[in-house]
Amino acid sequence: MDESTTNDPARESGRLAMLQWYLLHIEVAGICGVLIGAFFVQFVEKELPCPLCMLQRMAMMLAAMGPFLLIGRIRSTGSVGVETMARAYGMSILAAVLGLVMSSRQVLLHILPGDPGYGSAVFGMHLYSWGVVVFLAVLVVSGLTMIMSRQLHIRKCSRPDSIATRIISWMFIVVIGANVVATFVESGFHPFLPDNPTGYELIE
Amino acid sequence: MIPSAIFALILVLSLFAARGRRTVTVWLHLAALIAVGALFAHHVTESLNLSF
Repeated sequence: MDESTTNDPARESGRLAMLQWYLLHIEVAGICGVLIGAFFVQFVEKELPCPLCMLQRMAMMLAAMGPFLLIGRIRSTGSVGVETMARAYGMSILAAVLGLVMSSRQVLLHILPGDPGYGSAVFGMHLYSWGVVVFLAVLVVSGLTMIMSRQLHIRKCSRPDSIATRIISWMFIVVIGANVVATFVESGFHPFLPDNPTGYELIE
Repeated sequence: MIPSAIFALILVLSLFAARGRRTVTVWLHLAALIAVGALFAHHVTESLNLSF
């Protein structure tokens, strides 16, 4: 092992860089949690997702892709510069803006008094309202991280590879793969999902 | 099929991101964003009965 490197991103790059390393994991795991929650509503509460719900899932995955790229980059090269951080968080911001537009549209579709909304509420808010919160959180975190990028970028460490990193990485990939299958089963061989899905087209 | 194809594109993108492949990831991410945006535009124009 190179003497000048360590397993701890904080040792070489400062405490704030260690915070950044944990923050990357929290961002990816948080969005994974939301997507797993959406699966829970779909399969346990048997509420089929509409096309806008699927679009918001896609935007959430793309919003998590920036931090996920940074984790992959740090694991493979041991460092991540300010330029890479800017690219990664730029990716997240674009996806979050697109997702915010989509979830805001769905909120506006059901904003009239007396409208019961689409699906049931989770902790008092519908899933598309939670979508607005998630995308706003991604925008705020990305903005703050880019402002602090000089202090937060990880200069040098020896390819950190903890069990938590592996679990979160695989969980993210598996959640995306599960969505590929679930969406194909729901839409069947139709090009688009129906506006008000009533069943799984492929198996019914 | 189109939504699941976009999810499959995001899956491929995530595999490149997991390996830290920066350039490929950024370009695939842009492609996925355009695809999601186009699907959203299709959904909006169809629900509003717009035609171009």
